[in-house]
Amino acid sequence: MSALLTVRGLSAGYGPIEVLHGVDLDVQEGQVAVILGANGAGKTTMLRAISGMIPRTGVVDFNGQSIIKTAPERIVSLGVAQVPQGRGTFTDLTVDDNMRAGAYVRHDHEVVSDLALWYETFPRLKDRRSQKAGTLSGGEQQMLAIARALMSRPKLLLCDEPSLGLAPLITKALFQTIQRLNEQHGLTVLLVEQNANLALDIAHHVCLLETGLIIAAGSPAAIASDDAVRRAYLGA
Amino acid sequence: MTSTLRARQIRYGGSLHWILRAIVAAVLVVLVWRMVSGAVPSSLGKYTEAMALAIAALSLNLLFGFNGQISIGHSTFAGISAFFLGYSIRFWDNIAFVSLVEACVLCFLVGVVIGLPALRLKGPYLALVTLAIAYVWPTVARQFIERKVTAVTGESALTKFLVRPPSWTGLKNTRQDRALYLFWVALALMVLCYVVVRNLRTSRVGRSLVAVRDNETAAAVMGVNLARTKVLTFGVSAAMAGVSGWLIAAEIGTVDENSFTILTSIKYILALILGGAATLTGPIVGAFAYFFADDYLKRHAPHWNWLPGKFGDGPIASFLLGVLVIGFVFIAPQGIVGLCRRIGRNIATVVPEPIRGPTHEPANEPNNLPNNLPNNLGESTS
Repeated sequence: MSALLTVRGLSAGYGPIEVLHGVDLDVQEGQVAVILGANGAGKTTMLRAISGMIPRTGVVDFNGQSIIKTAPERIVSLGVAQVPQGRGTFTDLTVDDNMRAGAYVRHDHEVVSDLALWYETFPRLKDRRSQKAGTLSGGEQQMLAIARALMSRPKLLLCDEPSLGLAPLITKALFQTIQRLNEQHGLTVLLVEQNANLALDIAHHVCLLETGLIIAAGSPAAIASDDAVRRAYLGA
Repeated sequence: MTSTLRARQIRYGGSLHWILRAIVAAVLVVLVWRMVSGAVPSSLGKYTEAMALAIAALSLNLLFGFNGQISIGHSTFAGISAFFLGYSIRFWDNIAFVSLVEACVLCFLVGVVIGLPALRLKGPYLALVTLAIAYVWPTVARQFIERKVTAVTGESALTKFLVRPPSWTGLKNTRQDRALYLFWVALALMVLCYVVVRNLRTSRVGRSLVAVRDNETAAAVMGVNLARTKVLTFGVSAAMAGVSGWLIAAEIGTVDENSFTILTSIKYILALILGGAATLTGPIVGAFAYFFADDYLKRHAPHWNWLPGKFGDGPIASFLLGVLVIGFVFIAPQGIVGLCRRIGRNIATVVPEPIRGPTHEPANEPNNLPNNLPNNLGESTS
């Protein structure tokens, strides 16, 4: 098994304020990696630094290739798709156009057959494909955001707090979907979450992020049995 | 919802859809034919001016409606183009259409430069920058006229440039034929601009424009280059505003520093809002509605003696037009086209063609996810 994403000493921030202070991370191909952290720990910053949305320093290798100096749109076409926090659906575009917008970097002729494939996976979206995305419910919009990201044919999917603002039942279904995408489509996923219980269920590898530093990493079982972690994130 | 369900469904691209399209096309042809047949130069000129306004509204729709960038400076691009036409025909003996192309290129370049602040500024702040440009333009135009025109000819405006019909049209160089010629040119340019905006909107690029408007972060993670998209949209929109200015100058035949002021920009915005921003036909519908409401009020309102006291005289037309616009925005915030859509939705809805199934057989695809999986989503939140 090889690392699809290798991050070493990654630092990033906004203007003069550094948020990430040299973070190391490995995401193995075909696995679900989860970054747990509280508000303000730097989870979103980490994803944005990986996808090149903000200036960063350090080492970021994707698929054996350095992407530290690569422009964000190029990183997308290399196979890194991001589901932004708060879903970020294009509310005034139809579901169909949202999906097609996800394939923005692609120039092949298989966009339509991919569309059909993901509609089969998300039949709810197919029912609503001529509706404006803004008329969808929160859970449906999160599904749309994931389906849209899949339209770029990513090797690695970055998910930024998909559970945000969703009912527990829907969050659960959402995590099952992510797990199935990983198991059945071989999609590698890097998930950022506050909802530790659910995230630990589907993770192969877990990192704990606190004020811009990874303070613990390991298998879900090892992390869950750590006393400090239990107190901070699992409420036990 | 019940009315939507009861409404007749028309399949996109189906025969009923084509029949409806044919009816609309026939109505449009009859409308144009009625405009042209037996028209005198002054009424043809009004149609030409309305179409020029429609082109400006189309350009603003591309920028504001679809890309979310506000500009109150579009009159400046129209002004640059109008001055370019006047000056190049008068002093360089330029061919009118060559000057149109050159003016568009010039407006595009100026638009790109002015669009650069748009990378950092949003909403009202961008509006302020463009407002400043519209504010500065009359001064620049005055200086230009004084140094380049008055110094040479002694006139205080750019005049005596006529766009003459070329010989192959069979039209003569008379007032009537020139007006007729410009009418057709205006119609062709308006259709061209409409087609450009329409094709842009329904294409990959168009989706990226709306994506940038709706959510910049999400657009960026889709791989859209924000800076390039915004600046190029500003440039294309500016070039289109240039087409409008060129047309107005060709129709009126004289331009000075007061031809394109902030009020002109406001007129563009009003036409767009009246017709419906972010719709394809809205700018054209709005421009014609605005232009002819304005025209009607200017001709008739001063003679309305039922208005009390001082309202009976003075510039009552623009006052009434303002009231009309405010009232209309309350009734139809989505513009005329939005209102028609709302009503039309109760009668019939257009449904998209069914999606072509996956090219592979689902049975041979072990990787397919179970269909029922996300079906329970959204139930409890919606």
